[in-house]
Amino acid sequence: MEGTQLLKCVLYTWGANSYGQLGQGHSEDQAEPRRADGGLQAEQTRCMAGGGGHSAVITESGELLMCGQNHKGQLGLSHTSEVITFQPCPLTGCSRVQQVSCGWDFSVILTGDGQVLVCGSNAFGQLGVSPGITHSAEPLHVKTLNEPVTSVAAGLRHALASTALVLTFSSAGFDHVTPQKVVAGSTHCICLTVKGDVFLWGSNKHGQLVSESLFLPLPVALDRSLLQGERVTDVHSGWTHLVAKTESGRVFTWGRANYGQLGQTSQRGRIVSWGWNEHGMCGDGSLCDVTQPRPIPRFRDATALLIGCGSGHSMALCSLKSNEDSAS
Amino acid sequence: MTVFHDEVEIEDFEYDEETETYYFPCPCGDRFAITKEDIENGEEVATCPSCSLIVKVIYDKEQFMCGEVIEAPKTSENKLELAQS
Repeated sequence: MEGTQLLKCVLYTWGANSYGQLGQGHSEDQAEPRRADGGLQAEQTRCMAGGGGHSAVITESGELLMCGQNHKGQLGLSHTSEVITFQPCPLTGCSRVQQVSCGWDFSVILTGDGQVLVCGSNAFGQLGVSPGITHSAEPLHVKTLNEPVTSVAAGLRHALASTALVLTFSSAGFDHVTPQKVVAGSTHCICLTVKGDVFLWGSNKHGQLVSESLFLPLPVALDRSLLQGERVTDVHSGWTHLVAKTESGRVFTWGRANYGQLGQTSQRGRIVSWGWNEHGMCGDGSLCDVTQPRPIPRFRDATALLIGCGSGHSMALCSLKSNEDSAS
Repeated sequence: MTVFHDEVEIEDFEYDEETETYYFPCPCGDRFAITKEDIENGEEVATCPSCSLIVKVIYDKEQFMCGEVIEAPKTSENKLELAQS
């Protein structure tokens, strides 16, 4: 049959849902993805963001939809009641929304013409408006940003905005940088430049800034040699960890790791083997060639200190846990 | 003993006058909570009602703890009498 095939786009949400932030029309936590397009048209979604208890979605035509917790007016709907399906956020004098970022209990909206609108809690000045305003259920215009903004980000209690104009940093020998995007963690900040450099500042409590200091008050450039000299093409952040994609398509993660958020297992001292295995030299108990590096099961709980290979045999010096049978 | 998700200073908590409770965001979307009374009693653990995570609350115990009620001393004349007798 002739004609173009239309891809149907479906929005799925899952996880915590006490405030209806999944937009599924109820407030039960969901352990598996379920469709959340009740309030949405069959349009494609171009941007989506989640805050502490609320969600925001921008459609292809630039309409902003919000749902979830709304006690501080973070949904920008001019009221403070919870919403359990995605509702359009009417923005007067704004035809299109370009980007949205959700903080803990506030939202930062970037319009098509580079203006920034904010709503929700201002308890820590995160809205960038008069400190006399404690919170706002109506999106407020951030007037002090008088240049077109190209990227916004929201952390737990802070917000960032970058413009297309050249910035000057006073440290690290970089005089002029052009921001590509800004990203916020819970208490840290990231700026990715068009040249592919990553600047980091804020809290380094969990090593997310790759620094020896606990806190960086000024942007510091990430050492590119850590990424094998590659340019960074995109960067994202969770509360306390970072994910960066480089020009070769590789993905690097760093920061807090205790819940497995870096997607890496601890590699230190682990013994892996691969290759010819006719005499069992790969040590996996079989005589079949091993095509990909695989851990040797026998050494699962051991730490290798030294390894060596002969022609058809392998050796490893390990330190075992004290309750292991050292004779085996 | 359960491992703390994090250690948070009391200054970073948001205080709610109505509930007399200190709150701090929890990664699950709810908030770690510890009451003013708990703090005054030297309690150091803030719990989340929606998940298993807990945080240690960092504060100067001397500054916050006031669990005892100390009665005002009686008039000073009595004391003088005692000293003289």
